[in-house]
Amino acid sequence: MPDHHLPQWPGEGLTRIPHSVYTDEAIYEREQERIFRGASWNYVGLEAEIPKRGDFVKSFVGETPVILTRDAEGGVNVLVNRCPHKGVQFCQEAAGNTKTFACPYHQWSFDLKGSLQGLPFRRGVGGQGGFSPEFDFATHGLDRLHVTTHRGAIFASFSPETPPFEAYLGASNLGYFDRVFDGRPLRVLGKMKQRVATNWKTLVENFKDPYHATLLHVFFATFGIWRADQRTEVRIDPTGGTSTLVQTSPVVLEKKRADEIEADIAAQMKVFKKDFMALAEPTLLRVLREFPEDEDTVTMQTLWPNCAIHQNLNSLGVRLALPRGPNAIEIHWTFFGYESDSPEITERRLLHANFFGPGGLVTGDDIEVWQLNQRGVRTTPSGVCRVEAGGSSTADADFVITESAVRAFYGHYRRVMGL
Amino acid sequence: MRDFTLDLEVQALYTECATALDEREFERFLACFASECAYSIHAKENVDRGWPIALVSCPSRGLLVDRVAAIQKSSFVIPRVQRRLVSSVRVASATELPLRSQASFAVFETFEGEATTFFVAGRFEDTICRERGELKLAARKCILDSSIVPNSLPFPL
Ligand SMILES: [Fe+2]
Repeated sequence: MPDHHLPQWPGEGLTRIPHSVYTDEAIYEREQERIFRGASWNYVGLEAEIPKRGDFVKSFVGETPVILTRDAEGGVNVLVNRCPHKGVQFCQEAAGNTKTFACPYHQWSFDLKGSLQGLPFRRGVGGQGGFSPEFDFATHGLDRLHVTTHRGAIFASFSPETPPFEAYLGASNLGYFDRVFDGRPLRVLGKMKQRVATNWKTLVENFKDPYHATLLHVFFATFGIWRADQRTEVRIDPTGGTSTLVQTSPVVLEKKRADEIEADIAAQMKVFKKDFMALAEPTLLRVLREFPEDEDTVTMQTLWPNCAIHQNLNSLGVRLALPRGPNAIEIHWTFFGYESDSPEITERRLLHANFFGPGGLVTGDDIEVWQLNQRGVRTTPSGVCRVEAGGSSTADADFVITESAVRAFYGHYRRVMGL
Repeated sequence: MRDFTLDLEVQALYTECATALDEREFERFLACFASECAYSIHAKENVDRGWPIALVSCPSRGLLVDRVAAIQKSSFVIPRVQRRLVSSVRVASATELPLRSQASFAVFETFEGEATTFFVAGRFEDTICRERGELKLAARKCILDSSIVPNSLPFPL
């Protein structure tokens, strides 16, 4: 497709994001082709979701519905949920255990690796009809994606050219990934799913933006979980696509420090609630320290293109921003712990999930803003976003008020998209 | 013939709880619950698969009070009208307290400048006790018919 169909990036470079990247159909189509069906490792699920042979669970790579299977040899497969005969989306259950998948239309059946196993009336009836002896089973299987697993997480790619996972993340970001995925077997605690009227990149930007967290999330700011005065690190991989935000802080606000900094923060943050400093159930914020090498650290890692991993209080989770046209997404959250978790820490993980997901005391704020964001850019497609916190840097930072990881993301995005 | 007095009393509690939320009168909502209580909202997929995560999880009254305080004092929510319809009340044991009861619910949403849309449907699974002469919710589980929620769940159901 000739490039003149695509909007031009503003001359200022990465301090500007054209609104059209959130709204334009041609951009959206190119994202599907070059990003989601391109050389990307798309998170699709956890090995703990399909522990036994024959287990399967449905997921998505971008818009493409896929099935994760554990085959007879114990291997993990990612298969497109579409019969090669007529294109029927044959698998209807969210999850289950099976030896074969059968398409309801003409009963073509496939094994857990996606190979065509059988089709009825192959030789026809009474010697008439059916398929020729040359009909090739090997070229009529389900589409199979390239798969890599890393410490219990499963990633899939349409492209054989995707770099090895370790190189794909970069050294510093692999370290943050491995901090949560530390090799202990994982235990799935559950899922949350929501459909939101916004663009998938709006979420990715939001997760890379420590600036907003101190202003929008009054609950976290009030209770000292994410505040402008806390030690912050922004760690960006060499491509710019993947990054991690780290905040280290005493989780429960110390009164003496609070007095010093409160005036400064309260002066700049109109929304800071001094009158909401006490909880009826203070145990809500009690954290069991589980990463012994750290102080009380909160991490938010975004993996190119559309995946994020949070470790906040005792909640661990992966979220995917799945594109559903330029103006809509599905967010799929998976919450997990470790098989070795004590009942006490599982209780913390379940309680701290209250901050996340569609009913999240903190992410609820974001969901509302993402919708308002899309309403704004849709009505002015020729406009631009101005992303100048922290100057024009796309490098690592050790402070809160910066959008460097957002600019770095769009540096990578422009290269991949050819914009 | 069955004595429906208690059924009517349960119905009145459900009406009070639903209209308190529709009218955003959270003190009235909290007053529908017992001094020791639990409240949670669950997506279908988690119930089906036996996963413990809840969309909203308040295993104590204090946590429900804190959620209400957070909604009022710290959450950013796009203004909207919500309308709850609660129906098909099924009181399992109409004589002994605490009693078990279920009901079906549907919630509609209306945003400023937009037409009304359907939001979520599901069922309540409740445990109801009596405190100082009045029926109160000792435990309410809201179980959604869907695994996916439109936009956000800023308020209790
Ligand atoms: Fe946020």
